[in-house]
Amino acid sequence: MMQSEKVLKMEAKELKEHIARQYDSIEKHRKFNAFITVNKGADRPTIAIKDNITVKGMRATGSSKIIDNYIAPYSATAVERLKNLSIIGKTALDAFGTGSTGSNSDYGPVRNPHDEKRVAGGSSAGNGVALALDMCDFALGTDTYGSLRSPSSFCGVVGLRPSYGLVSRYGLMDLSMSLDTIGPMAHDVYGAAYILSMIVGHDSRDCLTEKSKKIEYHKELDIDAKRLTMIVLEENDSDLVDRKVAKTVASAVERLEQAGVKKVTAKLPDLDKSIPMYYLSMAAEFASAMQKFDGLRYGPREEGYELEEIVSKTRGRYLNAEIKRRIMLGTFVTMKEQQSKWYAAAIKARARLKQEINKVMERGDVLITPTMPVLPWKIEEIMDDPLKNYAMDLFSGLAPIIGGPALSVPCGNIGELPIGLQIGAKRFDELKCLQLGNLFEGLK
Amino acid sequence: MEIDRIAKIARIRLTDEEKKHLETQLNRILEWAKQIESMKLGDEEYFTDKTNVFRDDKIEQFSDSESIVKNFPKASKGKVIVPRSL
Repeated sequence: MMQSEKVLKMEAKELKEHIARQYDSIEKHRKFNAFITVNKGADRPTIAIKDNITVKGMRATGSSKIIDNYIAPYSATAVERLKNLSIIGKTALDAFGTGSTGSNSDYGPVRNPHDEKRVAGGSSAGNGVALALDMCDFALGTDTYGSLRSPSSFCGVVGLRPSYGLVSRYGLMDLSMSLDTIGPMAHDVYGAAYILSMIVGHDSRDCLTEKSKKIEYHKELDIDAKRLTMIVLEENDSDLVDRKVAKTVASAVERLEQAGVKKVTAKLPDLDKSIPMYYLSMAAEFASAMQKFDGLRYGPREEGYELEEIVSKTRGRYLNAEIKRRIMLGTFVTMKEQQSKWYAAAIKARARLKQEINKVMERGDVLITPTMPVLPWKIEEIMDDPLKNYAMDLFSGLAPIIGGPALSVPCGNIGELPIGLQIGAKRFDELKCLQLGNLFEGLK
Repeated sequence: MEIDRIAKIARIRLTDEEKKHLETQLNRILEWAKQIESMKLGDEEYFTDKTNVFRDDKIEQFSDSESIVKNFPKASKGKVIVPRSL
């Protein structure tokens, strides 16, 4: 029985002791900066909520000082749908989701649980650490372009980005609205499937949610390996991928093949172009999404006489360097005289990549890649080098570009550092990701 | 790059040091982003399969308006105080 299943079946006394150990771990590991707010008094299996998702009556900062001390007046739909769980706290992220490392939180860099000098992955960094250091049983994260898969990989836990439109985003602070999703993180595939089963479904407050049939994913995880075909990308072994990571993922593929999963290979020559495509289009959407943080309705406000002066001073003081960089980039690429060269080109590139990825997906059930192409950097190595930071997103776009799901499961270690295996599928086919992930967990 | 104009449109007051640093970084990012040109893009349309989804405007009473008021940086008698805009 996996760890998540055991927790859900614990007797009251055992559960109480288990939760007490989680609070102890939160206290003992404060230097990892996983939590921004801790909720006392949990008495059911615990879930951590990323701080860009609202919980009524709890502080929600998005890890940015521009809404420091904001108390959410309402809960996100995904939070309202959680049953028989206690919220143990709100976790740190790269402010408003702007990062793949966890170092861009205004409440201190989130540290890797296996090597505190290294990044935890992001943006759902606090969740990854909280799970790896046994501070919670489950977590709710968000994923725009890898945000819950990256920390799952670097921290050695499981995370599922659901298909776009499967889980309501009502109550989420948006980063890039055409890509944002809310999804589960857990100690194992069963745990991620269990939380997913609760939070899916149409919501009139998010008009893009699909009216699809509800599936109890955690009850349908078993599958005969011979019924699955995995597509393995040739780019898994490209120069942009760390040799040790490539080798670990190749070994995982071999184990799956030995278990009976059929293998086909495919190529995506434009894969590396997906990174600049993302940064141009995301920045445009982000600049627009950030307009609401102006110091007028919430957060601190700078003094001044006129509206523009107050807004500009407030944003200048309370937005951090990466947020400013992205807003400035997004403003530039959408200016009338620049739009066709940059933003329109990015959108066209996204359309082309979507066609190419969907064509590859037709060859099998699941797409296998490393979750992250590199091992976690040391924190100071990436702080002021946006391009080094952005290069970590090589495989992050495969799922968001087609609106599909992707799961990250641990598949080995290099020294103390875990490596994540990414399992993608066609849109609304998360069950295939979870089934293959569950099968892989069983091989270890 | 007209860094002052972009900052004005974005409503962010930057220091001279920030402007200099951002200009260097944005130019570097844009230079890197030019690799998209090698995809030789044509008439691709991303949003053609999307349609608007509308819902009726309905008045719903929000039960806890006090919780919204508490978040205002400046308030008086349950209303937010904002600076002059004209």
